[in-house]
Amino acid sequence: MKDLVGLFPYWAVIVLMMTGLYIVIAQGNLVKKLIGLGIFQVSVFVLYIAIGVVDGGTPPILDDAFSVYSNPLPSVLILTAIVVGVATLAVGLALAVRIREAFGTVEEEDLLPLTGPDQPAVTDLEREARS
Amino acid sequence: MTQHELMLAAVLLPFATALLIIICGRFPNLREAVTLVGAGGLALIVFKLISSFDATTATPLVLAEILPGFRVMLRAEPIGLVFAGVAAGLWGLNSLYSIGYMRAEHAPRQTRFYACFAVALGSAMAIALAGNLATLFVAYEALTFATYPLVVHWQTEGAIAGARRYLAYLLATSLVPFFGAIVWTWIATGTLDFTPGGILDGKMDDGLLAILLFMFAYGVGKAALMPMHGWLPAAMVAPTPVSALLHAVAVVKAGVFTLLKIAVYIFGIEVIGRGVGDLLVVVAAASVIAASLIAMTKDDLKARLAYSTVAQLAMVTLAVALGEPIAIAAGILQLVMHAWGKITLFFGAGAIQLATHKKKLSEIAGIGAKVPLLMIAFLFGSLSVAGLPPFGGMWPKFLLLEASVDRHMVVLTVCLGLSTLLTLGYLVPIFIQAFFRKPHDEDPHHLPEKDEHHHEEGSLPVLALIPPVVTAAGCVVLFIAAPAILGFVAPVIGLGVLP
Amino acid sequence: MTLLPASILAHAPVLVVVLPLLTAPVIALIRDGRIAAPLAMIIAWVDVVIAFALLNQTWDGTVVSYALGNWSAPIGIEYRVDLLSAGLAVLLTVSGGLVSLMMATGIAPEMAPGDRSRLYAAFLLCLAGLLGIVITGDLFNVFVFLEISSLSTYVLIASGSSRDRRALTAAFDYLILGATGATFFVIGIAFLYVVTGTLNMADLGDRLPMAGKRAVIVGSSFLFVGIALKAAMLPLHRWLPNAYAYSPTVMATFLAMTATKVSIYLMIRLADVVFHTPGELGRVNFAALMPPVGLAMLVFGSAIAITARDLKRLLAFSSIANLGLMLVALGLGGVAGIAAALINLFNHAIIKGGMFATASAIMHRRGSTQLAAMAGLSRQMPAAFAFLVIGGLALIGVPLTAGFVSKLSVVRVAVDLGDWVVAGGILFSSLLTVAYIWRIFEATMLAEPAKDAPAGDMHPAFWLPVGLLGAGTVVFGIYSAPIVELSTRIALQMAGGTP
Repeated sequence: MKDLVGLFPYWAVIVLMMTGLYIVIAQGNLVKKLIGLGIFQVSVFVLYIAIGVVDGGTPPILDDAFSVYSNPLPSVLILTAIVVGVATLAVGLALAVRIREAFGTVEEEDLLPLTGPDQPAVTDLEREARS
Repeated sequence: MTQHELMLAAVLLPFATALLIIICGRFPNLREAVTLVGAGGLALIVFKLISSFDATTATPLVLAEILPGFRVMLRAEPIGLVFAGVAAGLWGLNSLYSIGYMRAEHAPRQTRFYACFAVALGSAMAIALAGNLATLFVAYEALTFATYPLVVHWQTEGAIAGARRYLAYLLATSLVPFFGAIVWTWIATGTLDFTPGGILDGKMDDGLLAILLFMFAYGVGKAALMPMHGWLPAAMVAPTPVSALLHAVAVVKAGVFTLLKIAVYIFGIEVIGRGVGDLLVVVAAASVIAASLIAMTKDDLKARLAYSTVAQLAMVTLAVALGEPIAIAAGILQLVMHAWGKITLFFGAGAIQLATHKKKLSEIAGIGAKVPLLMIAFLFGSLSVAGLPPFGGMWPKFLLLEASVDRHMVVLTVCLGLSTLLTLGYLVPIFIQAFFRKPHDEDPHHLPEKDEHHHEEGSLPVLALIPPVVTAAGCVVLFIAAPAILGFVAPVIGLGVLP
Repeated sequence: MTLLPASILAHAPVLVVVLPLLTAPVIALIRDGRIAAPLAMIIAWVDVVIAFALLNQTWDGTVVSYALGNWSAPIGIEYRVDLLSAGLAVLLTVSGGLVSLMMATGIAPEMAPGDRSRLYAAFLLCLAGLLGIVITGDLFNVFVFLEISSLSTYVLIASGSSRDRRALTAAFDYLILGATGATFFVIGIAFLYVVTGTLNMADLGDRLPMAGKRAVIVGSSFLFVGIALKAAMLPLHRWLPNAYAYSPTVMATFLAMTATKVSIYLMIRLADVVFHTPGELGRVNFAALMPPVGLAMLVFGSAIAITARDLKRLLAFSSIANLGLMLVALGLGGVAGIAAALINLFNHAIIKGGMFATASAIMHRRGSTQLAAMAGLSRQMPAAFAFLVIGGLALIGVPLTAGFVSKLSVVRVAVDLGDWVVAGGILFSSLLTVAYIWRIFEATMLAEPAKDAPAGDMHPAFWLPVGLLGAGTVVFGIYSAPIVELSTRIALQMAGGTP
């Protein structure tokens, strides 16, 4: 019981992590995949913040009244990771938009037959001519 | 020039020739003059190397170090010089013949042909003068790749398939067992240098040595030990001068030469003789007989000659496996004699095809009257390959018999005798067919066959006639010269008194 | 010898990364590709000089430590350059430099003019990210740079979309996999940080033995999976073939030379963390996993390459096979194993870079790298064909090419350890290599050329990069000392000895 409550953030991390990864793997829609990826990454953010916490510590702001602080470093790190996550999401969504333009779909099952190695190459020019 | 310079020149000259050939590609006459000058120059250099050879002053020439201990280096020694002499001597004749043959056939891509020919000869020189197993391997692979464009020359579907087989066999054997055996030897002994007396004695036990010997025997695919002989008939898709090069001068001889070198300088003759090679003796003897029998069934002249080569090469492997100085001597002589004999036969087969457009034994009845000189040269070659006096081919057969008697291998003695008969059995019918049978169109039992491709009578260019006549004469000269060759190599193989 | 003034040299570790990182946005803003391309090229070559200065500085075993922003190690980020980092930095910058030479010309048939300067920016960002990975001493910083390089790689791949829309899906697939892998990597970092309290890779190795077992096992497993994905380790290889096949060919050249190499770097750098001798801590022994997985990649990659119809795809699968060889060498371990892995890493970058650069030249001239579209190449683009031959022979591992040195170095370690399965597997796989390389040769040399094929050999812009890489393939195959020496020194330093 102590584990369940005391380690609550970690349980949450596990649930989030598995949810995110499952969506990435199981969903056929590219946008949903990206959402899953986002959840997966968020779980790691939570993990980092959780490991920085020190029992009974205060937020890491220097003050004579306190002597035990939480570790600020993981939080700092995760700021960077958040930026990275946002950038990844942005590139991913941009790609999804371009895929929608080029193939007319973002569903994996529709894309697969169009993207095999033996399919003819479709260039920008041909695409414009067709539309 | 010093010995080092001569060795370097012998290896580099053919490559330089190849380069010049490519540059002169637009001017056929100039291009072919370059080939001939290159061949002549190489023969001179090799002659100089042989005549100035002195075992006491021979030092290695290190060219590069690919990995620490894995050096590329040249070193002259008698067996290698014998091989170099054979290859350099026959290149000129083969070039003459090539010019006659390729022009008569109006063959395409002749520049590539002559250039690759030169590169192949340069690789053969490097094999001959290799100072260690590493260098030999390097040159061996170079030879494989240089001959591929020659084999595929006609670029028909059949040629492409045949060349594929050629490459597949040679690379499969050299890249797996041969290379593996080299690295194994390297790790076990710490060196790959050719050392008189061998480097392996005492480094591993005899059972492993026997396995290693097998890895070498089958790794050197160019030696065409059955069942790794499949590339040889497949390579018959090449133009005939190439077949002559592959099956008489460069490729197959490089194979058996490699085996001889490995026996003498890596294993040591005595090590093999104490039982390590016994299983290989059986395999090689079986290969001799089997290949001879197959040769008898072949109607296509070149295929017949190809299987004959398989049988004759297996005799060198046999010589290696016997592990007796006298057997090694037989192997070296076989290398020389078979080269001259077999090139005569290939020149002959190609010339027959030029003169009559016939490729098959069953078609050549009665052609003797048309090309008498050629067919007599052919007969000389046949008798030399079979091992009859007064032709050079007698010596190796004789010495092998002696070695088999020395080692009390009765079955082997019988096999060797049988093989001579079989050889006569598959070569002499060609001669008989040509001289003593009536041509088909005069023979009422045969309906004249319509030949779609060649309506007009062929003609035999004089350039395609001289080389076989010269090599046939050479077979006789070699009968006399054989003791001199033996004397040259005797010190390194521990042959005290000449037989 | 100093390549740079002391004031610049003192900041070299950070300069080499920051220079392309900061100039990338500027280049993205320059609309005109004709200005942006030379600028990017200059930056890339300045980086080459800096990298060589670093190599020069660390050659004798010196470790250069640079506190970023003058914040010392526990709080700030330490850039730590040892010989391994400097060697990789040279590889990366030289790759970048060579690609930058042909970038502007090579991209022409594959991308609209207006978008090109942004591509050059992404290229510089990618270079900066990869350099950051090898220069930094901080594990989290590795992750950040990994993401910088990955994000720009997605862009590079997707840029191929105007020629083939599948570039988009290839980029997307890689994004999903790459981001997942990177997240695994961060999770691994979290675990290791929790138990050691440090992110400095040098300290991490020291503190791990005192850390709790289970956390370390979990952490290193996550790290390993993250790296393995970037290294395209079977079965996490799926992103690689499409990424190479559909990205613009010049960029595929850059990726083939660098991207996966950096993952191998991470494996070596984190050897203490992700691999360890079994037993000691009960850690998962990933090193034992390497030889079988590597062998599987060798066989699988080569086998699939045989079936490929596009040169770029074929080369991509060949890359998987070659990565397998590096993993095998890493798994065999020891100084010799790591040295062999590094020899492979450097040589493969040169060989495969040369092949892809040639493919770029072909793509530029013909608008396709389909094997079927390359008929008659040997006549119409003889220079390009010659470089394909050199590269192809090197991939097979023919002696006197860099590929032979690579293969020999791994086989030697395997035989030395008595690991016959690995040695045999490597040798066998070279036969598969022959098969796929020969498909290129037959397609370019033997097939009848199309009548309307565009005339002309390689565009002059390709001569320098293609020529240098081709020359490197041959030179480092004969005079292998620079690469062998560098790799051996690095391996010794990693093993704790002095180079």
